[in-house]
Amino acid sequence: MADPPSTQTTMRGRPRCQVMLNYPVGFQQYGLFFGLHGASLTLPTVPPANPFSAVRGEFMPAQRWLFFSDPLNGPPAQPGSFEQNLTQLKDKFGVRHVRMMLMCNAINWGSTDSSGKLVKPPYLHPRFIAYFQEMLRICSLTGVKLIPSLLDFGIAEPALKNSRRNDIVSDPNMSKIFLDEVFEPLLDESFKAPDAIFAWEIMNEPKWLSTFLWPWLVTPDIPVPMIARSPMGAAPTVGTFKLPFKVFPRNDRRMTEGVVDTFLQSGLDRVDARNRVQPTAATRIQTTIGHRLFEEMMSRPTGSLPQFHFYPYRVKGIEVSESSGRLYRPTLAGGALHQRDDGTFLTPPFLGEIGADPDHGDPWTELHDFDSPTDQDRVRERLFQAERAGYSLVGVWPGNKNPPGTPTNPDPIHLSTSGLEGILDFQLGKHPRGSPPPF
Amino acid sequence: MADEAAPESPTGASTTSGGISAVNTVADAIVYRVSPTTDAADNGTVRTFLRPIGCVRIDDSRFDFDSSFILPETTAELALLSTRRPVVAAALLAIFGHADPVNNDEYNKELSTRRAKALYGLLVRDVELWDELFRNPHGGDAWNNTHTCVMLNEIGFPTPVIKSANTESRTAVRNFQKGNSLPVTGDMDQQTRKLLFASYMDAICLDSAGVAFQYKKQDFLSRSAAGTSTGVPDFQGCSEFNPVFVLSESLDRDLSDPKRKAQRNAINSSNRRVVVYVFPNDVRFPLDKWPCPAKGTAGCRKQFWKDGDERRKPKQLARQYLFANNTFACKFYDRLTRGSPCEAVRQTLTITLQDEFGKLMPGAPFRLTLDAEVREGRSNSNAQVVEDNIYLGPRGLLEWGDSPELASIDADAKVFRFRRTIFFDLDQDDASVVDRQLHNLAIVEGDRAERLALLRQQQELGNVTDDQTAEALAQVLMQGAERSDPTV
Repeated sequence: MADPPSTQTTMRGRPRCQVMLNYPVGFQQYGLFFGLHGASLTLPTVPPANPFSAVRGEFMPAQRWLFFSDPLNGPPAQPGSFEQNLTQLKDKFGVRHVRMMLMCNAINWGSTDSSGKLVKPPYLHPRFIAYFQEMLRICSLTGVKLIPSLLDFGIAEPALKNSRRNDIVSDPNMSKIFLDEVFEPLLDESFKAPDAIFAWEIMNEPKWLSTFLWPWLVTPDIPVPMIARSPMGAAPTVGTFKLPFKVFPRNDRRMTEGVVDTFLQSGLDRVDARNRVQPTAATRIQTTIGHRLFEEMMSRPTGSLPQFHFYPYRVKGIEVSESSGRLYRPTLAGGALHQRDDGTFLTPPFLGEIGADPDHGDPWTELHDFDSPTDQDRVRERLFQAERAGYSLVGVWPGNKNPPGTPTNPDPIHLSTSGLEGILDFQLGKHPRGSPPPF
Repeated sequence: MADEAAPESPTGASTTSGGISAVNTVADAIVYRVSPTTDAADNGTVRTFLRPIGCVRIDDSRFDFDSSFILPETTAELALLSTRRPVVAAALLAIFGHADPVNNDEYNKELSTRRAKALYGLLVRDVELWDELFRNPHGGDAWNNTHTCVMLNEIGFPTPVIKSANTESRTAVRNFQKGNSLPVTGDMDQQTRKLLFASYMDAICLDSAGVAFQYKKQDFLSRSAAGTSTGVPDFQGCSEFNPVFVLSESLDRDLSDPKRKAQRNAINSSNRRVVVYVFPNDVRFPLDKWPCPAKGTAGCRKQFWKDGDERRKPKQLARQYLFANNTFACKFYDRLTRGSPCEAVRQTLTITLQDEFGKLMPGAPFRLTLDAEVREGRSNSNAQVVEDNIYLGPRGLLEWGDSPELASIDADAKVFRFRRTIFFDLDQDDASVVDRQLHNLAIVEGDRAERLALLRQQQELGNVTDDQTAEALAQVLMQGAERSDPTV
């Protein structure tokens, strides 16, 4: 003991939170990296893509995506820029995880008949596999771990009308075909390069398949619970409203959480079956589901790495109302081990998405005026807050509406320069008002 | 030459080898108890406690021992003061002197007042106040030839520093007199003294640019251009009533041996201090209600907490004011300064660094951010960070370990693998001390749930060796005891 006054203690480390970047539509951009629709990718054995065929061979459907930009009208990227992009993300911004959506709304796979029923393509276009192989190679090379996300809730996008692919989930036969003919070949490649993959995600935000937001369910002429947008710092207003119109798409195929969960579990089981025969842990692949909400993650299939997304209070005006009438309230929760109702413990989750822009959810009220006004402030403060909450991995959802290649959107990931600066601030522990909030 | 101030911390604090300048933090422990009233005369007004917005502390090392004479090295802290409260600013100042528990309350009241008075005289260039101190010794506080020599040396009339005047020192005095058109006698007459005081004051009271500065008397709390007749509230002494560090009973007994007087004095050095508090310009209070007496301790005792004398007495554990908040006897000063970095204890800090697996980390780069300062360096071969002369509050931010992936971003940027709140108040007897210990060991809320699950499967307690912490961990693990997160 030293002479007083003196103080002694031991400090043990806890790894800092890792930052992940979400590529908004993943392979849309991935295709652009190799030139428009991969034209500049030198893969002579791979036939060219045909955006007007049932066998298209492009991960991003060549059709306008409701929430994302149009790949046909995007600027071509330079060959090799994907590798450059990942290298830059890792070396300059400390980002070692990326999440990319592959089949997205899946209109790049098969076609629909006049009644809207999904018809599978005669074969899987080899371009899918070629692109995925190349992607895994680059991830292995750069050391950036990938979360490939197989499907997006966009398969039931109402605006697609008769082109929707919700049969992949709602029709058990089509589910099996899809998993056999699309997922399994992708898994073949994945298990050849397990070091490139952080976790295989079966679906992004499956919640929307069974909510009124995607109103292919018989639209009730009854009040629908909602949470209205609230001023920052105020409690959300809970009320009811009536849907202003009824939507009865012709190919209406009703889905419940149970139907969706069956599909999700089928996908998880495919990976688990392969994991069981792997000789070492290093060759196994983790699984995940990109749940929209913490509470949903706590009661539904999660895979081995539970994941949820946090956007406070609302998305696009209507917050979550479950077909059961149950209201969910978004919560940041925490990166700890959580106990489910049945007493079992869920592995500590990671945050798959937090918003970088003000259009995805309300401000984080707990951050007060730190959560503004720039993407830099917002991203930095939200990452610090997520770290304080104990998360080991947090994904930033870029949400940059500006066209790629413009000064405010220089990077294919769609994260603004300001947002990237926010990530850098976080990595460097910088804070404009002095010491950042520690954890 | 006085030392340079260290770089400002993120909280705006700066330290030197003999003091600190800081923004005064909000006292979160002060509770305002209010109740409604129907009495029109007592219209329910709540007046907040007087709270300073900043502070500058001058340590004991800047004064001669048992003396109110201000040494030239104080220039460093005076520069901090000129930055904290520029001469053109409107904020108000007040000076509080403090002594250690050696000697009695009355003696120390006078000594602490004299130190505060000396600083006030320096800041407003009132040489008459210094002459009063010179002419009126108080016990060991007798300004003598030693101090004359120090002053002469500082203003360019070199002489050996000796207690009794000799030929060399008289020659220096003569040279000073000659150079200032004074009668050349070699004696420190009053005229010579006052001019020497003024010259010395100008020589050491320099701002950060090395330019002499001074305040006006109306820059102090009384707002009076002439000051006040007693000095309060502009400057006052607090005797030994507000120690920032109280020894443990056992050490106090050990050090009561006269042979260990030097060690006792060294340990108590943090208690001997003069603090300048900076108040917002809009503070209003009736001067006649100011609680600090200019003379005697009776008035001080009226301001004591009920257990004021107990607070400053040694107890089983040593206590630091910023850790325990229960060492100040004076309620008024306690409320005034609660949480202020200027009431910290200058001490030695030792931190053992481990990675997430508990492996020691020798040679690891670190950055320690405190209210008072930021320190950077590397752990030694024993994986220890040992920092001397550090003003320690109850918590800080510790970052350590390299993150080479980002090393290419910016050569000057420090990137660390670990970045965590660190608690220093670990030897207190409050209810949450174990939580703070567990936190430093990286056992936090999430781990408890995780370990609870693991325990059910493996019946393991981890490798915690500290008895108290192990017991607490066992309670958490075995009985599901709830513990709060100390960072919240």
